[in-house]
Amino acid sequence: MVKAATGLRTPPIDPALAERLHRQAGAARWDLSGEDFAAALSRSAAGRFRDPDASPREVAAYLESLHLEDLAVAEACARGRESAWEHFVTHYRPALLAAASWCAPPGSAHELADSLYADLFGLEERDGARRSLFDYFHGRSSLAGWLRAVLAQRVVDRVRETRRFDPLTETQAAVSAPDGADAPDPDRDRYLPMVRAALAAALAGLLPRDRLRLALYYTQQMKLAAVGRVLGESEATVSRKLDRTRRDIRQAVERRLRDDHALSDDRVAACFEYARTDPAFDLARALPPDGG
Amino acid sequence: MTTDRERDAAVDRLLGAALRTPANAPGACPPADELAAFVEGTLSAAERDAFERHAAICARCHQALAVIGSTEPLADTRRERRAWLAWPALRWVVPAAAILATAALLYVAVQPPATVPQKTAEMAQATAVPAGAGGGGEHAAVDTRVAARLKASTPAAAPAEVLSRDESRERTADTPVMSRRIQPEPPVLAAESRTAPKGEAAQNQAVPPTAGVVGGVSAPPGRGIVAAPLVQALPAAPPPPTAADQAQKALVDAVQFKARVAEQPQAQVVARPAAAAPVAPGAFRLAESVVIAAPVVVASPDGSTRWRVESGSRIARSRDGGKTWEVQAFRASTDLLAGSAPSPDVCWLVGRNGLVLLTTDAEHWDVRPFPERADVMAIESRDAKNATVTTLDRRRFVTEDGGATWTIR
Repeated sequence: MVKAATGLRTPPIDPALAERLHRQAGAARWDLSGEDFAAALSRSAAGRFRDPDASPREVAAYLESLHLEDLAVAEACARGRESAWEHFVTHYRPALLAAASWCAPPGSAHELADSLYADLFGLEERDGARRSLFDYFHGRSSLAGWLRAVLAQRVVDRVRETRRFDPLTETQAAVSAPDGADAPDPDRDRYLPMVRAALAAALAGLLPRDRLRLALYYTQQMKLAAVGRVLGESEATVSRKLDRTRRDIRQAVERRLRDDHALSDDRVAACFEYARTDPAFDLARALPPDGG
Repeated sequence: MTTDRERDAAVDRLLGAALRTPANAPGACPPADELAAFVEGTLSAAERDAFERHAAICARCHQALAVIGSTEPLADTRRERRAWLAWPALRWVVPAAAILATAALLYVAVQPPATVPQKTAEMAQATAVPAGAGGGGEHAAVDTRVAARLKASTPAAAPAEVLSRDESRERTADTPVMSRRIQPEPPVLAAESRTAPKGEAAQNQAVPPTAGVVGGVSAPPGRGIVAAPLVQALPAAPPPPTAADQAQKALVDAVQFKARVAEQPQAQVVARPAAAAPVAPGAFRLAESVVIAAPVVVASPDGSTRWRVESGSRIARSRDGGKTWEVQAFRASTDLLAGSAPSPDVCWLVGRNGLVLLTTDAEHWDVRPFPERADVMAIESRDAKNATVTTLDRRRFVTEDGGATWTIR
């Protein structure tokens, strides 16, 4: 049986299967031996199956579902095969640069793409072996999709790093400082906590996918089509499901306000209006993370 | 009393404010390969559920998904090999197939039954319409058959090319920077892969408009038009790639760079871009040399002629598909970043500070006037006259006169 060279306990892989997948991947085109490719397969299987006693059929089905050609290219690049690098430079580098210029903060696109490229090439050495970022590609997605995900995470981390030190913007300052000129409304102070709790409970009761869709639309200001792209849904489906989720939330909040607090319809309507116009309403402070 | 519709609108505004600053989920975020697999729909059901449970309440995952959702997919080499199935090719194949079918039917109509070629008879039978049906039905039948056959072979998850507009949404001044970034349309660089099915340099070239035109119709003497099998109407398969070069100067330079990095620990900060410490300017320049050392390689559609950028500004050319290379006399004034070769004699190269180069004889290079000093990151070209470039700040410039004048799109 083929075993990973990393020392991990991995599910065994049938050598005949590894050989067939090696052929299917066209790995010989990149001068990648069967043994090297099998090591990549083992690493991928180890990441997917924590239990080394997973059934051979399950492991075989998983390996056959991989993007084998991309896995071969990545493994060959990680091992420094020139033909693979030429292929990567020709097909992926320009698009990587362009994608970085599109999504990276201004002025950092080139540095971002360069540093990613350097990590892919593998400038670090550990225990005498060069470490390449390609080692973390396991063929579960296309190589192009994986590169995009790596780039996205790096962009996000960079933005989050710099944003930590950003001064409070004018808009945020205005939101955080309630207007002291308005006369205090005793009902507002009584009803807002009710709405907060009811809304928090309604959100916590959503299916994770519905909550994710809501978050992408509202917190990231994504358009319907973009939300659909990451969730594998059509624009129409995203729109329909958002409408349904909003309706479900509204009904859940109303139900809770009526049942738990015995509010009339007029009072319920007033609650919604108070919450809508309250500048300091921040669900994040009201709803601690539940850990998924 | 408020209506349900008004309350739904109130909830909409409520959510917009309430979800502005989501909390971060505890625990590690999924790695990039899981994130990519989720977007491509290749996670198992259990894995997808676990991913969604985490991502639903994780700000970092929201933002990463937002970046992915708002950017164009990178080139997918698998799709390149089947790019002839993509829409641009389909535009030529379907009407061409309809013309073929009509010609075949006409041929059958004027020929004695005994002389009808087997293939033509098959096509005629396949496209036979009931008596009294109009000519449009014949075309529709062929279109449907061709479209159905091609659709069955098309990759499952073709990415959308452009963002559709959700004009019901209003963007306000306090929209977060990352969200603002998704509003303009992204550069359609991935379209190159959908229009250039040939050779390894499909990323850097455009398919001439004649690609995909039916070439299988022949006219044997005395027999009228013979409809060739549909498969002959498709572009010929690209030539197999040649063996890689013995030694690439780029990788040698990178090894030398690695040696220099080992002697200068501060430069290693570049290898860990997620580090909180700011990157020293010197380290950035060293990292840049790694990318520049790796060559930009551009190949003509038939793969016979290739150009390679070495050390960022030198140009080498191969006339034998990459077996041997010769460094050309011309040296660019700055780093070259991308290229496109629509034919063996025509090649465009673009680079920093608005540098645009063009050769029409595969030998001599001409610097084309570009209106701005912006870094030009990508180029698509159809021939020596028509090209579209994308700058670092995502603007697109088009030329129709070989780079003499440019129009911003």
